[in-house]
Amino acid sequence: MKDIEFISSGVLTTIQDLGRRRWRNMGVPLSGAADPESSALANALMGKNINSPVLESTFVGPKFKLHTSQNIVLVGAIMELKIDGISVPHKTVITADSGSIVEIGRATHGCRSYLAFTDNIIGADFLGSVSTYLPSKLGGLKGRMIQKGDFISLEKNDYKEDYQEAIETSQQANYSHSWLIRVTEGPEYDLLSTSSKDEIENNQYLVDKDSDRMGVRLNGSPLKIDEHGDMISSPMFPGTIQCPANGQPIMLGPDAQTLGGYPRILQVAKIDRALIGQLRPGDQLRFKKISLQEAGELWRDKAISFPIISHI
Amino acid sequence: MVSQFPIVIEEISEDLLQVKLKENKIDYPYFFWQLSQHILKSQNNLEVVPGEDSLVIQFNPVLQDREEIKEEIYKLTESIDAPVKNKLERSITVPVCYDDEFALDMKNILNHTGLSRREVIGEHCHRKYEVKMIGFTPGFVYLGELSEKIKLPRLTNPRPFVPKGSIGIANNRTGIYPIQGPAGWSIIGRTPINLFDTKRNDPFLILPRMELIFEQITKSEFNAMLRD
Repeated sequence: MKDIEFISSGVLTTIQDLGRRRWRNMGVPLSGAADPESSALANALMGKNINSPVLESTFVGPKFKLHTSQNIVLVGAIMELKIDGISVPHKTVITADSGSIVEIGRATHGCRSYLAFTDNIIGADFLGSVSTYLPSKLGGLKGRMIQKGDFISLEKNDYKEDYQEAIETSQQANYSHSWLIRVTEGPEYDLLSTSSKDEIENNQYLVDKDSDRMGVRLNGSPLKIDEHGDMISSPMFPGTIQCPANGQPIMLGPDAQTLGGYPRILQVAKIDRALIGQLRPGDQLRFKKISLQEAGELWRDKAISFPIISHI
Repeated sequence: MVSQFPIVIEEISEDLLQVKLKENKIDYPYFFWQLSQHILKSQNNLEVVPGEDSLVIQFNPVLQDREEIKEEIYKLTESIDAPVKNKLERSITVPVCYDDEFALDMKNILNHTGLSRREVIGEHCHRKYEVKMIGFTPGFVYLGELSEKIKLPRLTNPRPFVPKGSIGIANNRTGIYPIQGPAGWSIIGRTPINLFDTKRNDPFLILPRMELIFEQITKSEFNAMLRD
């Protein structure tokens, strides 16, 4: 039962699946992998259901000892993966014998990586998902991040599908420290001043250190917004970009609040939404505005070439 | 059948639809809450978030047809009738301590309103609130109407963290932050009780249409209740 023993925790390691669906009306956030495309790909490479639980590592991954033999695969941020001290490649299924030590290093590009195992990680189910939501201390391992000395158990996985064809055509994002994020106009876009609308694609933003799974705070030349802090709280979703009166946008992540009162100036297009999970403090970012039609076409085209993402 | 509530549905992204009332006039405050219940009952693959003056639906643009969803929403609004009298379901009392240690923005509230501390507390505490909406984070409740005398806009620069149980005010609403997290409202006090308990069978203690009353407690009462 004690299949994985953590020797070190990493900076912020949690159990995630693709999130808690259909409870958003009650104020329950989606949660789940911050980069759902990478976690889905990790599971697909393993031939598993894409909603299977994975280990999400942030900045620096954990080090653990396996007490059972497992195939493993790592997808997402560029972090060195070592089995018994030997470096192994990403996006490649590799056998790790019982007793071996697995270590996920520091991210050089991107922020979060996803590790899938042959068997299924056992996490605390809450409302149909094992995703860890740290603020309410629910899901995952006792609702918290993994600590040194913790054990995780695995259970047999009966699901098996051959995704090989889909995987061969998969396009992975190009990780850099300078991102171009495609966005569409949000419902309160028109509260921006004319000059801010003109500048919004030229503004260079830096990802703030106070960013987390709930929101990525951006710092840049302040946007001018006709906002008096008196909007009625409105629905928010991962990818919504809100702008408080200080003019510094906040891009919402998987743990996004369900309602919020700052104007929703932009929405990250689905084609780039998974990248939110890969932004790290200090990274540079610019926006590129596209039409709703283009956003829809880009996502549909991607879903045709890489069908597993159509379920995300 | 013609709906009592004419709505408009707007595409706000490639996977989000926003529902608003045509006149943007809210005669029936629980319209969007009720609509959300109807949608979730009839559609099992949509994410729905009701607000007080709008509702947003998230759908899967590859697997679902946007026009079919819109049709369904129009049809569902026809079945909503506003009750003749808005009767509140049960009442709940929430203890609050207004000590400086907890009321992070009390100084600013006093400056802004020109009232004394006792007056501010009185305005906040001595009234019955309706639970207008739930959301933001699990267990957060939007309560109204807040006294005009202590009406403040949201913070210009939201705080990254306020402690669990913090009570905030913004515009004509007051609300309870059930968990530690970011907050854009001015903090006026704190409650020791747990509003979102994942260990209970039904973790959602407070729902729209309930009545809520704040009861002022001292710091020692607060600490005693925390220990229980």
